[in-house]
Amino acid sequence: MTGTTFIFFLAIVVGTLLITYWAAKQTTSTSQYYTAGGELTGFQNGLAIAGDYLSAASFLGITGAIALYGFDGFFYSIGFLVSYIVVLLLVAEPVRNLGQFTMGDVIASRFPERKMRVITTMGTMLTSILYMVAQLVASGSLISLLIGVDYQISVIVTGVLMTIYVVFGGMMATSWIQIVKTILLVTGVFMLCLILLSRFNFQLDALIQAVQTATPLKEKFLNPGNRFTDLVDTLSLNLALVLGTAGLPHILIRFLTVKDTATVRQSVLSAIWVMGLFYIMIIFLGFGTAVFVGWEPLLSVDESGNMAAPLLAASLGGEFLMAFVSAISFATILAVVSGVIICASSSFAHDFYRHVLCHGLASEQAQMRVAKLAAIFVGVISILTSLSAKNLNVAVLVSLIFSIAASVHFPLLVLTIYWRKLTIQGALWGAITGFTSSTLLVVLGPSMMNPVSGIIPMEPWFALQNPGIISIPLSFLVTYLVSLITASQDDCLFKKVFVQAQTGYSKRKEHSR
Amino acid sequence: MSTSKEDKIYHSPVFKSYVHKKGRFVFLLTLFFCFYYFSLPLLTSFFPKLQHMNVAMVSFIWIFALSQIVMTWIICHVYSQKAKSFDQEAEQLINQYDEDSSS
Repeated sequence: MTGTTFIFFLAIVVGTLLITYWAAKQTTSTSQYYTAGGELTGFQNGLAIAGDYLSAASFLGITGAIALYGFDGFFYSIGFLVSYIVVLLLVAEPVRNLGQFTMGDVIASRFPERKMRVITTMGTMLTSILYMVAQLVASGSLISLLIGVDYQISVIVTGVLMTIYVVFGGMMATSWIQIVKTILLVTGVFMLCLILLSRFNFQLDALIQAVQTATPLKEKFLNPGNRFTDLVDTLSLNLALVLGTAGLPHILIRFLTVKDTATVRQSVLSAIWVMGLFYIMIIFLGFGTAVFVGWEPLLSVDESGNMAAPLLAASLGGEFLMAFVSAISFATILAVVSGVIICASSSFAHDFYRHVLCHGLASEQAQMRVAKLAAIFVGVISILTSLSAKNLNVAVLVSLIFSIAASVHFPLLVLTIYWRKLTIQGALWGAITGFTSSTLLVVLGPSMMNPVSGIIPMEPWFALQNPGIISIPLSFLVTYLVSLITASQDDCLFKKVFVQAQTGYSKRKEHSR
Repeated sequence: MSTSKEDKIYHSPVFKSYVHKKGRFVFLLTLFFCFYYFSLPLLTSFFPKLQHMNVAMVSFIWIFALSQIVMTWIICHVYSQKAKSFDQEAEQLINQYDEDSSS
């Protein structure tokens, strides 16, 4: 690690800890701890959503994927953005109208039974821990590549920092770290783009010409089909991406940090502008990497191409720029993992401790204590898992997370909000089906079962990498059938929930009081 | 058990027409974006099999892919614009019922 890199990393650590210190002084109630008091503005929350969502996988992974596969790398990023249409049109506003602190609240508004809280807590904890492990494993490898410290040390440092932010600063610290990170990331990427394009005198044609001769794919670089060749598998992936975001608990709770539905919409609008522009700039960076870094040097450092952005920075602006970009990547990782850990912490304390264990009767202090302990517990579990899972394929894990989100949380949420005939048994069995089918199909699929390199050295039993196209409809179908079989006169509070979700009825009453 | 205020709102013709209007609008937007978005994987999966990709085709696919980003921006803005008027309707609807019950 060079002096410059060290100073940049230190600046990130000190900066984020200062934010946490400032946030900790304001975080005195559970409402502040879980949702920053619901006081963020639309633009701030939009930046925080982008900060939650633009993970190291987006910044480093997609730049690398574009450098290696051209069009298909970019294609992959589109699904992530388009998914926000589903979020905005179907779930964001009802979540704001029905939820208080967690996704569990939204489901409980219709099914107050404790077993439903248990299921949503389990779903949230599981997706959060998986997500965190994926991020920590990726970040461990990345940080050790970026600055040359051990994998173990990188994981522990990242894990401990994220736990500190959340335990002391709660959602307030998390949100502001995400906002600062988004600003850093977007300006950093913008700067890199400018430097890159200046090398071509701002002639896009020249860059496109250059990229067609730079890689072994030659002019095919710009064609689709270098990575995604199977139609059904591609559709399956896209389906899981588009529906999955609306089922990611750590994204959903971001809609509870603002005061009303108008601000929810502003949040989504700001987020999609930032992310859309970001993904467009990433295309240039990917092309630039293919031209200036080249395939072999890129692959020789890391076979998934994750080092594309830092290597490009090094070849464009030398060590200083590379240190800067590495520090931004580090900030990116920290912001994403703290967003996930606050989500797990609030779900455990609010859904499980307060509503399941204490039947809704728990003091503020006790809840805060449990939330902080839960954050530490989840942090430690994720760190330990990540330490022993160094060789885990992060891409497989991410595909699994999106499949689970799209086939467990998405159907549950959408049917709870919109379908009158949903019964609690339908909801339970749908969630169980969605979870088992997506997990099982990933295990039996080519990412786990492979005669040459798989964890299970056999021919795969299931041909697709991505289970979404089977597991999502299956989950909906089971929910539908079980609900019909167990249908009763009782519509499980649907009228109340529907009126609230569509008009914000009870929320407005609270405000006017 | 007396029917709650939400029940009354739920069964009111005003609410029904509000939900119907909003539902139809959201449904049409969803239908459009699904069609537009899923055309992209359909296109890209079919075309490589045609082997010869000319420059015009490649540029078309890139423009179409980039237009997905623009499509996301437009749809979200269109929805948010329209949602303002939905919010107003909901506001009126609720006020009306709150007055009814307090009088």
